[in-house]
Amino acid sequence: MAKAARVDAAGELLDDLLLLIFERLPGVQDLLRCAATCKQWLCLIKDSVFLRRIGLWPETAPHPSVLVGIFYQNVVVPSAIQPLRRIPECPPQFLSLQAGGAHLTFDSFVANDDGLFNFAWPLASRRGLLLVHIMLPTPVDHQGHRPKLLLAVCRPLIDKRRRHLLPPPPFLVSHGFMNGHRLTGYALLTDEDHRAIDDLDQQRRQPSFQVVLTYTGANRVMYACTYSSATDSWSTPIRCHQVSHLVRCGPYAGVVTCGTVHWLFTDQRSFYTLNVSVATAHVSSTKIPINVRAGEQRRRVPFPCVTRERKLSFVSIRDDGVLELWAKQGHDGNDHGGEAGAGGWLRSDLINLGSGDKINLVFFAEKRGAMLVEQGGAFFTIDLKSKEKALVDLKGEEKKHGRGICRFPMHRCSSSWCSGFHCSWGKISPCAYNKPVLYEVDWIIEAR
Amino acid sequence: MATREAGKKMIMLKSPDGMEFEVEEAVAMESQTIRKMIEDDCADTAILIPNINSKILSRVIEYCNKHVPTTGATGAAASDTVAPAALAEDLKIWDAEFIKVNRATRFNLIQAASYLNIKGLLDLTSQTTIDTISDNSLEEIRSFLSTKNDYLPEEEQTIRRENQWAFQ
Repeated sequence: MAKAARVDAAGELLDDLLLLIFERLPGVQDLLRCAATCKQWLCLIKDSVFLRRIGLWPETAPHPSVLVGIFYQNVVVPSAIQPLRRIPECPPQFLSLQAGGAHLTFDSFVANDDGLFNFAWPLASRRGLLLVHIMLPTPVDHQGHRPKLLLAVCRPLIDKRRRHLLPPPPFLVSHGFMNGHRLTGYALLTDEDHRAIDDLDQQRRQPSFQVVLTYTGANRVMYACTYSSATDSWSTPIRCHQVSHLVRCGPYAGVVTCGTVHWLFTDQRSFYTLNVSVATAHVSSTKIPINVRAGEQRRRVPFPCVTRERKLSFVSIRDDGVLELWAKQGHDGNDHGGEAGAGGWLRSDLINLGSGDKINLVFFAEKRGAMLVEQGGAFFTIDLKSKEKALVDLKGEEKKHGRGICRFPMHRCSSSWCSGFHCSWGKISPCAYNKPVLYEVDWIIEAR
Repeated sequence: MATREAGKKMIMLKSPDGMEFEVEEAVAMESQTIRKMIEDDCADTAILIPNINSKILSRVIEYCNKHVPTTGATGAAASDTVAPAALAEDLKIWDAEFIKVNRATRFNLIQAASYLNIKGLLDLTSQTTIDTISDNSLEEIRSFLSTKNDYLPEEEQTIRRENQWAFQ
């Protein structure tokens, strides 16, 4: 601290001291409120050097963002065969990664006066939007029929009143593990993902979005179907014959880059991605060069993420705790290259997390360009570019509210990157555990 | 121990208003800024502390005296008889008393802690301000920290709308 800070005659805090105070604020909420106090404070706060220093905007991230917290629902989706006559009151829960916000309940994010979200599962999140699966009571006379899949998109922190209920998709599926038609993947995209935005303000106020679902229909054929908020309608389902001989694994929530959604599949020897382009409805699959390791495939499949260059990449967690990053090289543009060989992929060691503590949760924070990992009750980010590990300082909140580790049932696969299968009593069944969803929002105040 | 205590090095700190304070080197080295000066051999027998008047400097020295690791005569005696937890509790009470000062003094202490790079003192002195920001409405923050709201109503509305969650 070479430069002396000053206090002026009236006893006001001057800039250097204010920054010292801002740096020490327990949560981003407080920082935002300071920014709204006066223009001088706003100027100090939007400074990129300051945002970097407090970790909101690492050197390698394209845009400053806030890792607000994790939405989760520990109640398993009930078997939809039984009509649901009564709604148990269990809206999604929230684990704040911002100290001071740990007490937040779901209805402090999203209006729920009518109980719409009383039985709901968070599925995916993108750019401040949250995709939620809702279950409502089904009339008794519909016994034996599958209830329609009800999905909603909301903007938890930005617009509490906005709840966009999607019309039922043009097919009947269950979001559970059932025979027959079954939901196998979902993804949320915004217009920013596949076209230039003319009016950024408008996009911020009322972002238009798309929801992509994949499901297996009759004869185990997989389909993809897209909803667009601009037309408020679903597209005709597209057949994804490329993956009909494969089994899905990895996160249900697809990874989005350049307007294309990627899901992971396997044939027990190799891994493949299913790629669905939202704008062109083009479907393809790509073989990735990571081998399925004996005995490991049911636990740790590669974790998909996107590099700063917007390339689809994978992080593979080895048994010795070393995380490897597999990044696709070259200018293949939209990743529609079909069956790519092992060539063109670059493997590098990302970080060694050691094999002592189990890695429980893994998320990808797109805007931060980092993975969020929970290991032994502590949360930290791992920057994909700089490979730096940074502790998410919950400033004692995790002790007050129970460590993150206790919030997610350990007897089930609680990881966001599970193999998709669950092994119990020697029987293998699809993993029914609803994956927690990382909620990352853009730092809305213009940075300079 | 005895010989080390006998040979205890003293440092002279001078405030810009001409006051001089003789302190043990260990106490002065609570300040990372002074520690660096001493380690780099930039320190003569007297160190001028700019920007910090004698009133504030004496309080800072008071703080450092209390917080210097227990190697001093009184400290050693205390640590022999009192459990560390009780000692920490005692320090906490002392800190709470120490910080009961008016706003101008507190801001001056933040400034001093920042310049002298004394982390504990900086945490302690800035905590009240942090609590003020965390626990109060914008209007209250403005009045406590004497800032003026120079936003147009619609500008403030935009910031509030786009960051709704911070204002709940």
